[in-house]
Formats: sequence, structure tokens, C-alpha cells
Amino acid sequence: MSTSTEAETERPAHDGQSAVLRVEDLCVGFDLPREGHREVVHGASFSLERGRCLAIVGESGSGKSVLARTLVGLTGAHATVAARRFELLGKDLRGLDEAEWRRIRGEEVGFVLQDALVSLDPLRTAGREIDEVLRTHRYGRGPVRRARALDVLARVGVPDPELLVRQLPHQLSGGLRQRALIASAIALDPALIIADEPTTALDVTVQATILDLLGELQSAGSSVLLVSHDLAVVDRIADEVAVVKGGHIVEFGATEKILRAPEHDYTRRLLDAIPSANSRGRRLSPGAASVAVRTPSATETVPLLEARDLVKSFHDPEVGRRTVVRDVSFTIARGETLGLVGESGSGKTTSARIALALERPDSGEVLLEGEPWSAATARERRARRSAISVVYQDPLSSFDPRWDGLRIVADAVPMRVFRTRAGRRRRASELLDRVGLPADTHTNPPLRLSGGQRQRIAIARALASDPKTIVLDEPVSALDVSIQAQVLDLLADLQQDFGVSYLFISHDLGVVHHVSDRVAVMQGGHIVEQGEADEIFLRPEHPYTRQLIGALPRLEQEVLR
Amino acid sequence: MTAAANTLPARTIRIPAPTVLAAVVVVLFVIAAIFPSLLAPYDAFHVDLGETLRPPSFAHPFGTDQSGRDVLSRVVSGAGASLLIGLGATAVAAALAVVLGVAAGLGGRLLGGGVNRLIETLFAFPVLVLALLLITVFGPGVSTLVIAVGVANAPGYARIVRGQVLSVRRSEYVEAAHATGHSPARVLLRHILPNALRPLVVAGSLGIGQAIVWASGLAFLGLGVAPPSAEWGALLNDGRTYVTVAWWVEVLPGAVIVLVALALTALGRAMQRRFGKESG
Repeated sequence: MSTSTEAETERPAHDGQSAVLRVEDLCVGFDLPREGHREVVHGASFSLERGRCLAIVGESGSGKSVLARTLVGLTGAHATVAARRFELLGKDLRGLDEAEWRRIRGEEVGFVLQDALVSLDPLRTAGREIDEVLRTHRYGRGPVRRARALDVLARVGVPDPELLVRQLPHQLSGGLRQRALIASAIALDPALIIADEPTTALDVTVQATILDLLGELQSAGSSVLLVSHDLAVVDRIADEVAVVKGGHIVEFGATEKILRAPEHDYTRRLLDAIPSANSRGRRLSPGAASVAVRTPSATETVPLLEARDLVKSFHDPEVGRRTVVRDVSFTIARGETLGLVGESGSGKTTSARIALALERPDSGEVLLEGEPWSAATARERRARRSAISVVYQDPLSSFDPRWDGLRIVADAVPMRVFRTRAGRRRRASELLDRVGLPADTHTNPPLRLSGGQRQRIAIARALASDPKTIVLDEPVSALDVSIQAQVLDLLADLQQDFGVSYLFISHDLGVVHHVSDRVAVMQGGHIVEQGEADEIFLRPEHPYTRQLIGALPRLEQEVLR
Repeated sequence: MTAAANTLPARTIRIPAPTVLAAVVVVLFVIAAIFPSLLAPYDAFHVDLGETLRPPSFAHPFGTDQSGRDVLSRVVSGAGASLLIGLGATAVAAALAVVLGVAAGLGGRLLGGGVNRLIETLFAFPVLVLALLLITVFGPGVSTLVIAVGVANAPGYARIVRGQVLSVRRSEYVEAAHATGHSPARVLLRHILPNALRPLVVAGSLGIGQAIVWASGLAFLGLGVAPPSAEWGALLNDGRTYVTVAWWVEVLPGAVIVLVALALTALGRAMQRRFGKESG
């Protein structure tokens, strides 16, 4: 690591003694074997005061995670870090060696990562995980450390710390895992907690409790540096926001100001891209005019897809039979979007798989265009498969790894429509053009395309058989907000052009509200509430729906609008 | 920070030196197998009783054997038989493995489970024991040798195929192909088989060297190609009697077998690394 030796300039008075972290003109670059030196953070400046929360916001590839890792000295051997000022609690961090960084991590800075399942050792109990932090920093003897571990677990709101210290990561729920991870980060009372997307992998109700916990830690005197792509989460707990784009901090200031009166164009675009109640019928990405409000034809008597009292259970070695779908009924009319929301494990995906006839219900049935679908024979179903298609959350795993985009789509073009291979390829090419995949990337292997481009291929494939219904299983959950906005706009355009119906599955209430005409809320395998989207979101009746909507972090401006 | 990963610069492929060396050995082996006259300094079967058991020299780099034949020429002329046996045995093994592995992976509880038990049972036998058993039943000979080594190696490959089939059939792209409305046969042929057999190609290329060693071992025991053919195992068997007075008739052909097997394995590993990278 090299450091600049420029004379320190005097800071403005307002962050005098209380600043926990002060960074001025921080540049981080990497020496890459083939490309030479590449700078990814360009002159970032910010400060964080005691008991405050600073959020670093940006999309993937913006440099926000590199920035967060630089603050704990985890940039790796190939990185060059330079700064005019880089201080933690008044101590200069420039040019520290690895041993000094190790002391700072844990004692002065606690680091919480995104997915606790990946960042916890699968073979180590939560108790040992916390104990290791304490032992590394020589925090007393065994019994003292044990008492401390139980103490911090209680502080992060674990209901039964005595039990949790003996459990392995896979035995814990997502929320408890994240709490255990936070507990190990705060075990030594660090002045600063850095949380890199701490709630991204969590369900909305769990996310709410974790955000509350971070808020409590903050009011107890810790400073929190939150890295996130989710502006609604940021709005909920951050005092200040730094918006990062391409390694530059394009806007930095009080949360109130940044989110209500953004000055930078990019910040405004990010805010516009968030799907929500207010964005219905509006385009999310910059460009063309508004989307025409659709009027699904409710006049037809026979719905395109109808599920009647579906029940499905699976064998579970631990509890015997586990029923994941109970008495699920819904209908989808031509050109309509039905949103299916619920938390993980609520039975959304299983219901969708039954609708696609990839899974047989134990009882109940699915009708496709008024005719038996789930009860039909495999041969009959195959003949009618072109009427319904699917888009998955992770497009890459739904593509044959040997094939390029063009071949993937051509394979789904029915042979009765285009008899020749050349004809199917031409049709595939048209579809790829239609979904906005640049022509020169049609034959690239999907591995080399971006997440948004991959999802466009998946959508083109779903359209290839000219279906009347498309099942979209979390189609935008893995995408950045601006890419998500483009894909949602594309789906709206396609619905208009082709008159297809969507069964749209998502855990993201904002997205569901944006796209859906009607919404069904699932919990524990049941549909607890079903109705017009606005009705459900603005006047929820079922307590669970209310809980979900209450837990949803949202930008206040939406409520005010 | 993966933004730059898409813009791969023009790749300059750097092949490590040991791999180059292995490739050279394998190329020489293949040339020896197809055009022995290009590499053999003498006629492999020319008997010269005035030149018996000469140690290695410039005229005879590997020395001569008890009949005055040039050992290097004999090794070169035996390469063809060894390559054919290695390839043949591996092909037999792979073909059997595909049938057994796919049946075990796709068959229901009864068929799949039964075939899987069979594979596991065969896998429990050491390769050499299984091959010896087959040769005992069918009598020695080149074709028996090929089949015996092939059958004996099949269970190992079949296990690889079964594992792959099981994971590929549950993959999302296979489900997507079913959802598209393709027939089960088409999904099997276009998606499941090609993806499940990729690792078999690598395992097979690793196995050729191994099969050559097994076949030589069996031939050494007199269970394969009979003398005066210069197949490598037979060559070793032939020189066994003279090893105390003329080490070269035994050690040098043995060293060639080891070298070729090593080179084939090293090349297979290099392929495995490349394939592994691309599919990962």
C-alpha cells in the first residue's frame, strides 16, 4: 500500500472531535496481470460521526463494496490505497501492516456481510464463531468469553442464546443467522460497524427486525456504515447518504436531502427506477412515454388459467410429510397480471410449478383455457405446452451451458411453426431483437453476458412458443434497480404487444404492486388474501398482509405524494 | 467489480512446459503406432544371431535381444498394438458406462436401483481380478484382452455418468426444456446426454494410459497377445528370462510403457483443467 504524504488540511468545524471516520480523497486501485493498474475508487471523501449511520448506495460494480472493504484493510495484496486523509477515531490508517489491521478489525470496526449462510463456517457452532473473535483479541478466559458471547447474543435479540451457541449455521433461520453474524461483529464493542448489504438475502419481515437492531446499536452509541443498493432500506436507518457511481461519490449529504431533493441526475434516475404503488402505469427507466394502462378483458367467461383447491405435500426426512401448498385457488384472465407474493417457503414456487404442470398436485386441479391441464396425460400436456411458458429467477442455470442465446431461443420455437432450423433461428433472432438484446451479442455464451441481458434471453425464450400465459418466478430479484426497471418496462411492453397474461411471483411487494392487476398473498401454503392490487396494498384486511406491508421499508415521499 | 470481466483481451495461450513434453511423447507414440517405419531404425523381426544381447550403443540405442533383434525397433512396432488395445478397452468401458450409468440415473427405483447395485458390486472388484476372471472364462487373445480390460474399467466410469445424469436431470435447464414441450427422448438426447457425458470425455482420456498399463500387465502374464508379436506386455514377458544378464531388454521397454502412460495422464489432466475452467 502506498500513501500520499500531502500535508493534512484543516477540517471544517462541525465534525471536530466526534468523527469516528474521516476519509478524504481516497483512491483504491488494483494491479491486474493483464490490464495493468486500474483505479476503481476515485477520490472518495466522507466522514461519519459517533452514533450516526452513513449509507453508501450504488449498483453492482459501482465500487461500493471495494470502498467498504478498504475501510477494514481487506482489499488484498494487489490493491493500492492512497488518501489525503484516512482516519479512524483520530488514528491514521494509511500504510498499516496486516497485523495492525487485524487488531482494528473486530476491536474497532465490526464487519457484517450480506449472506450469513456463506460467511459463517458450516462446521462451527454460532458460539464458537463468536468465541473466535474474542479469543483472537485475547478477551479473557473461557468462562469470561462464554458469558460475553451469551451477553452479545442477548443484545442482538436472540430469544434463546444458550441454545443458539450450540447450533450450526444450517440449523438457524436466515434472521437468526444474520443476528449471530452481527453478534460476532459487535462482540468487542467496536466504535464502527460496517454492514455490507446486511438484509438483502432476508424476507421483508425479518429485514425489518434486523434494521431495527442496527438502529438500536446506533442509539447505543455505535456508528454504522451501511452499504446497500436498496434506497428504501437506506431511508429507514441512514442519517447521511453517499451515492456511488463508477467509483465516484456523485452525491453526499443528509438522507432527507438526497432522497427528497436529489441534485445529481443519477440519484434521480435511481429513485425513479424503484417500482412501487405510485409507479403503476409509468415507465421506470428513462426514455419513451408512459405505459398505457391495460384493461384486462374480464368479459370472457373462461379464464386462461385456473387453479382449484391445490394441495401438495412433500416427504421430509425430519417431519415426515410436509404440506407446502394448501387449498390454493386462483384464476388469471387474458392479458392480466396476477401477482403472487409471500416470504420464502410460503409455497409460491410450488404453486407455480403445479400451474406449469411440472408438478402434480396431490388433490385439486389446474385448468388451462378451461380444459384439464394438471389432470391430462403427459402426451396431451406436451401438445399444449406452447400455451404456457416460464422465466426463472436465475436465467443462467435455466440455460443449457453449451449453448448461446440464439440457440437457446431457437430450441424453444415450436417445430410445427418453423420446420427448418434456419427458420427457427431467424425467428429466434427476431425475438432477441424484440427483447432488446444487441444483435452482436446473440451468439455470445450467456456466461459472458450481464444479468439483465441473460434475463432478456430468458424472456425471448418464454415468448418463442407464442404463449398466452407466462409464469415469471422472481424474474427481477437478482437484478440491480436500474436493470430491474428496464426489464419490468420490457415486460409491460410485451404484455401490451402480445396480450399475454403473467403469473408474477415475487417477494418484493413494491415490484408486485407495480406490475399486478390483482394480487394473491401467500403464507404457509395458504393464499390468505386475494384481490385488486390497490385494494390489497392500500386496505389490507388479513393481519399477515398488514404485517408484510407494515414491515416494508419505503421512501416517505411515496406516502406524501 | 466484475465489469471488466466481459472485455477479455486477445488471449495468448500459455501452455506449461510439462504439458508440452507430454504432448511430444504422445505424438511420438501415435506416429510409432501408425507409421512404425518412420521411427524404427531396423526391421523389428530381423533375427541376427551374431548380434545377440548387445548392450545399448549408438547402433542399437536400446540394445538387442536374445535373437539379435533391435529392442528399440521392437518397442516401436509394438506401439500400434498397445494404442489399439488402450483405445479399444477405453471405448468398450465408456460405451458400457454410458448404458449402465444412464440406466442407473434415469431408471426408476426398480431398474435404476438394480443397475446401480450391479455397478457398485462390480466396482468392489479390483480391475485386474475382474479382467483375469473374464479372460479365464473366454480364453486368452487380443479381443478378449480388450473386452476384459474395458469391462473391468466400466464400473468406475459408470459411477461418473450416473452422478452426472442425476444432477443434470434435476437442473433448471432440463426442466425448462420439459416446460417448452419437448419430448422426453429429445430432452434426453439434446440436453441430458451431452451435458452428462462431458466429464466422461476427460475421464476417458485419462483412462487410455491406464488401460495400456493394465493390458501390458495381462499380456505380461501371457494372457493377451502371444509372442513373437512385439506388443509391450509380450515384449516384457519375452525378456523376463534374460533380465539378470541383459537389463536393457526389460528395463528400457518398461520405461517406455511408464513414460507413455504418464504422458497420456498428464495430457488428460491438462485437458481436465481447461474443460473445468470453461464450464465453471
